[in-house]
Amino acid sequence: MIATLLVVLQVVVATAITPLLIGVMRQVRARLEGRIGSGVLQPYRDVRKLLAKEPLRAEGSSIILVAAPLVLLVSSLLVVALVPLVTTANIPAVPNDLFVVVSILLIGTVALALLGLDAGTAFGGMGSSRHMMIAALVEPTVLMSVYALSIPVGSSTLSKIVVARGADVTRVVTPAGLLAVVALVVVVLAETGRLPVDNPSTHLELTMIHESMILESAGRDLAWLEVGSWLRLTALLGLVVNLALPWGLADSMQPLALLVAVVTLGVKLLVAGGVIAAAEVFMAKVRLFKVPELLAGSFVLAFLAVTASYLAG
Amino acid sequence: MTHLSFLSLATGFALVASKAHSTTFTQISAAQITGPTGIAAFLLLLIGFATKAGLVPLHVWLPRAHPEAPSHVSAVMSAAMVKLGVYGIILLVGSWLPQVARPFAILVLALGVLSGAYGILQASITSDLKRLLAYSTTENVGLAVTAVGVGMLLSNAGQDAVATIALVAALLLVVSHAAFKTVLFLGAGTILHATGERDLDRLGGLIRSHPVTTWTFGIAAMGAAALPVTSGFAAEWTLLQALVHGDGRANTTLALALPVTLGLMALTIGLGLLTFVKAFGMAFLARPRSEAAATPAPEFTSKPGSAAMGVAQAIGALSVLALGLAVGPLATAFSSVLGYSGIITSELGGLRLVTIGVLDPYALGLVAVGLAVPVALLVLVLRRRVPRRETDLAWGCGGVRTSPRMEYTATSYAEPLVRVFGEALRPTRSLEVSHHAEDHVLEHRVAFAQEVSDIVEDRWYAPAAVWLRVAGDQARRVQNGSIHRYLAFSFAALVLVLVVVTLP
Repeated sequence: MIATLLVVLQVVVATAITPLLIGVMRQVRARLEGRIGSGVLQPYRDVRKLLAKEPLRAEGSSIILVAAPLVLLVSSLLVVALVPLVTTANIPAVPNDLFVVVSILLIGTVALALLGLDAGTAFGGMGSSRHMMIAALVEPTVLMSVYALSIPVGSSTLSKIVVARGADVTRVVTPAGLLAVVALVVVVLAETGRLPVDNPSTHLELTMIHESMILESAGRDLAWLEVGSWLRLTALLGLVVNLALPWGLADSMQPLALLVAVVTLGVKLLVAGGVIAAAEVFMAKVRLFKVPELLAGSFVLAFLAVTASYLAG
Repeated sequence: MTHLSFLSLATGFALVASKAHSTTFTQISAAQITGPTGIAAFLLLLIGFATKAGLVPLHVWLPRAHPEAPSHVSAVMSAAMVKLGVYGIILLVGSWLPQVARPFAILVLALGVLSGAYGILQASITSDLKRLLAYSTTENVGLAVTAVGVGMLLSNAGQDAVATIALVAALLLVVSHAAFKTVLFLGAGTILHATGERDLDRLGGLIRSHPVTTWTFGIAAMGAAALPVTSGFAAEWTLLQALVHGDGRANTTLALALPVTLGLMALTIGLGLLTFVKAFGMAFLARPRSEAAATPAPEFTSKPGSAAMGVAQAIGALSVLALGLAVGPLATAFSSVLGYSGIITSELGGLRLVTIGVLDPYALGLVAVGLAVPVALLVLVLRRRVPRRETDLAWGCGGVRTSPRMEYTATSYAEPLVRVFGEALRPTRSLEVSHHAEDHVLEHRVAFAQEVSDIVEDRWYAPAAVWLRVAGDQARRVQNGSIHRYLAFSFAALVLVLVVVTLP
């Protein structure tokens, strides 16, 4: 029961903080590029605006146009509920097994890809094709980093991994642990469509991946898509920061522990988001056919992490 | 290929039977055959069963036979017949010749992993729907054999508990593949009936005229792509758990084989996802890409009795879901057959691997529903406040709706993959540009053709066929029609047999 309450709290906190995270990232980027920026609260206003706007449905599109955004949103919420962000507690029947988390992310990925195909436009298909190619090539790295992280703990359950890392600082700084986290960072950038894989603020359709799949959506459909994708970023980024700095998470309903957990999560997320945004200013998008090389590189890191933990263990 | 398979199976069984002095399975297992005979028999039987199962590099018959057969026959072939090969391999390594098989674990594992990756790679780039499904059969059988190989390798290292989990995963994979592949082939058959097309490049938009086929195919495609909470996902989850819980510290082989297997299997899963997004999206979504797809025959009413097809598809799709939900009892039953008590049904009816973890589709579904309820309420409120508006064009960018030829096709969908895996696939491309007569800068026509053929077939089978033909021509010399020579052959053969028999 307590675990369920904690998970509910985690979903609420993470959902509330997500637009702020996006706002901070955009603002950091704007300031570094010499613009004033629209303020860190702009994403909240965007969502409110989109929810009040009229959704359009183009002739020839199907139920996918309505369903896919909702599927993406619910799958992202489910990921947020499962990943240890605020709490390491989890509902006993639904442990936050990393393989399950990854497959739920894939549901969102597939929903987006089908949405891109649904209207039958050239750009939608293009985005969908590229999106799925990257998803397919990211998969080995994802599962390999999961593997590397699970070896020292003997379990692929996320909260166990985070707790074990938090209990023993030396685990965090082992070569295997570091390699796995670095590989996971590349995965997060690819999965959430950040530079250098995809440019979230591009206006040129030919270079778009994520944006070109959602071109046909308007109003609340677009709002669900935006919030769903943002939540993915929160969940994955939160996972990485909690693996790298596995402290401050609550495992009980103690008000003080909860407060600490929420504040730590906020600080970790915003700092990590700010760092990513700052790095993006100095980075160019790689050519699409260079992306596999980047992913292969991160796969090698994860593979080394696995063999290192077998040999060093 | 059938003859090759039969030949190697017959020879293999003859060897085994001669040692066991019996042809019953129990006697063969009891005989504990080892030594050179055992190895020869093992390899021959493995080749025979691998051909039946359609494993790379013995798969070439599969993508040719499946598309040509009527779709319900393809469904039986893919869902049941190739499984005989898997059954044979499981019996071979588990019961008949386990003591011989152990050192060959890597061979079985390699067969499985390569079939998985190669099968799905070919499936992901083909645009023929039934060929795609046939290659995906190679992939799924490959995954099942991978699980068998992992089991062999782990039991070789003395990790019997995890090995059994891998074997249970193999059985789950086989069962779930039978369920979803039946629906997929039946769906392909319905599409073929309605449009006369099985080329995904010329399909599209069938979601409007064929709702039942769309949803059944969609559910089965989810199973094939191993998304939760279908049976395919539960099976792959079990195999992944077996992989990460195998202790690679036991020996170097294991320390390398486990991560390599996991990496290739992950690639297989990723490409499988792309393949079935492509198959579903291209066939059912977007706008029709050809005249035939734009005016399909109505669903299940074009012929008397075709409603039964709809029923069959619905039953199949329900069983994909049911197998995913009933994975706990199913896996428990499999593991009790194998005499292992480490897999039990969890409280809510999910799958629990004792000491490893739990996968409970019901609980997961409940949490998802719990999260979906507030979203649904919000949608209901908003729907009343701001209704949806139909338009002919939401966002056009240059009037993309003028011609369906501007849509993405299955071939263009897979084009990035063909580039990325260009080294492995070796596509043949031709580009012809003809210029205007008066000005060489202006292009008149651009013709581009790309073909990806099965590289195993081209590189290995084509030369083998040439050699066979040469050998056949040479052998014809023996056959000159002289009755005397034939009598001499018979006599020589008789003498040879007598000499062999009298040898100690």
